[in-house]
Amino acid sequence: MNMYIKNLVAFFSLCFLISCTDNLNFDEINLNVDPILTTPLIYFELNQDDFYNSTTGTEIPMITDTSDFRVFKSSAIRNDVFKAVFDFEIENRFDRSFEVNIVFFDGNDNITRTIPSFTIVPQDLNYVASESIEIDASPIFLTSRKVRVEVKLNPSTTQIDPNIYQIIKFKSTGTFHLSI
Amino acid sequence: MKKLLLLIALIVTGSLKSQQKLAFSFGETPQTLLLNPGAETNFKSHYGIPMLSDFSFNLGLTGFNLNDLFSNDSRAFRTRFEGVLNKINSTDYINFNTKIDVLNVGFRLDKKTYLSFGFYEELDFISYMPKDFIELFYYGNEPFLNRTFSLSQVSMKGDFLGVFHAGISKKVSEKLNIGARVKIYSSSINIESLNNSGTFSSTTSNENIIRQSLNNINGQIRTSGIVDSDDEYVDSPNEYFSRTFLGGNLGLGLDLGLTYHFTSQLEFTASLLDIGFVKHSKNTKNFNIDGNYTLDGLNFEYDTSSLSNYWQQVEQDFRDRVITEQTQEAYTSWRPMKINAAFKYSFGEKRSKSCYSKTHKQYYYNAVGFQLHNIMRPIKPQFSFTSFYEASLSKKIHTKFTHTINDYSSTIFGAATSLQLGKLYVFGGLDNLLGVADVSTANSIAFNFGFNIVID
Repeated sequence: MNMYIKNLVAFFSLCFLISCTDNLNFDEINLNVDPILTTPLIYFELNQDDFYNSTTGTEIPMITDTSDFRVFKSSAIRNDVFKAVFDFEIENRFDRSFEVNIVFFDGNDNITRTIPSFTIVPQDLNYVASESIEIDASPIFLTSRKVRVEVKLNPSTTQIDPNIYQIIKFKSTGTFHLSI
Repeated sequence: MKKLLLLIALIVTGSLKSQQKLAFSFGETPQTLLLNPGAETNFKSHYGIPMLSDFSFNLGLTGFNLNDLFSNDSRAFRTRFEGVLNKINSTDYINFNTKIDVLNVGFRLDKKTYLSFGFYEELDFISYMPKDFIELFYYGNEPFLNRTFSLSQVSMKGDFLGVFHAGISKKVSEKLNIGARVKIYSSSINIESLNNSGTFSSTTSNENIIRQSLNNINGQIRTSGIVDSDDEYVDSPNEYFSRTFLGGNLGLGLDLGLTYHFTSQLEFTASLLDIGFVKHSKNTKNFNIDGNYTLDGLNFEYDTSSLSNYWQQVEQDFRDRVITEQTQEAYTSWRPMKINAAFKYSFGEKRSKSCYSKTHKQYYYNAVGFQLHNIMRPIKPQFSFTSFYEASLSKKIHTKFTHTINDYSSTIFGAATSLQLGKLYVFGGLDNLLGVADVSTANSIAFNFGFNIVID
């Protein structure tokens, strides 16, 4: 009986010894997760009558709209984002050129970032632009809480005709590079 | 030669690595009754050594192994992780199960009837690899335009529970022995996320550059036991353990089994285990999400007569269309039912042994056969096919050698033994002999052993 038990104990030990996990390294487990998240942002479609005041019969040279921009309200995003890229696609079926100005503001309406203006010539149906913001270089951008998009008709001898259906189409996405 | 075989048997016993299914239909140990309540018994009574009468541990994973992730080479961990991510698919899984038999006793009621009862604790966890969402988290959605990510890949279930059981094994005739075991489950922790559906996608669009969509999303996580009645998370291990002793959510289960001898040499054994459920009504906390949503972005309207907060509109629209909620509703969780079946043909030298009440049982020194083992799991059953050879080295030493094909591998060679050391019965087994050399390349690690006092 004692011999059996001794053998048993010996081979319990032996088995642990012959079982090996050689060639494993648990010391260099360093996994940085770097997801790139892209999301649709502002889009709109404007007709010629959006630039025409039917009461006065005159052109409206500039229209503006604003929205909250809450991407950076999340501390998870704020702490991990290191680059933001905004892509724009604009289709201009007007016979007029126009300019687009995009400005970001913080909660107190202070400017945090101005995207350089785009000028889209008449009948340019495939205008594309991109703006990349490195957060290290512009940390103030993380305080952005509002975004304003201005559309300004450039002066021309060609007048807006609200009776003709012609559109401006604006599309945009935001792509956020994170390092978690 | 006999000493060599004894040596092998002892290695196997002491190796601490086997799968419990090795013990099915083998060795006439008391714990066989937990795998087949209709197993034949030839002893008067048994007394499991508390906490040691039956211990099993099983960790398995499919799709990759430890070496794929942690190999000691010059590649960065990130490269290895991405390699694994590339290899796995959504039906691969991680599975962990351990059982500790706290109390197990049995006694013979009469010549034909054996009763047994006891209590064991079980921890069981399985999670399939939600490859879509791991990739979405790891890479983001930007590289995957027009790809659909499926929520149905999220499927997991974890249980920690105590099981009180009482069983009966009855000899109906010379050929047939049947048995049943009633179980009362006392669940301490249950976490499960099953039957999820729906997709997420980022696609090209006419409205905006891209469109994001949640299509027919229906997901849920159900939990019980992780929060207390004040909705505070429980952080006391003692409380988790105490709830396994009838203090948790209770359930009912049944095991059924039989042994049938076609001839004195051809035997069929089968069992259905854990046909049962737990009703979770205490300390539940569930999370549900349900709905459809399409996001094109912020649609600026340039309407000076009514200024809009587009972002707020989008958030409100999302909340209206995709309902997320936390509830404390009761729910029912089914136990993972197991199916075992084995055919065994015995041959070779014929011996007889003394059994209870001065009767004798005849048996053969050798046997071959095959057995099927199946566990019902959330996405698909885990199926194993095992062929085996049994050899008795003496009246007191029995061995079993197996080859198994299952999800983990098609080359799992195993061995098991049961030894009688006076009145002490010891059993154990090793189910992956090839994996012993380097556990890091094995897809499963398992062991099973037990010590019982048996009165013939």
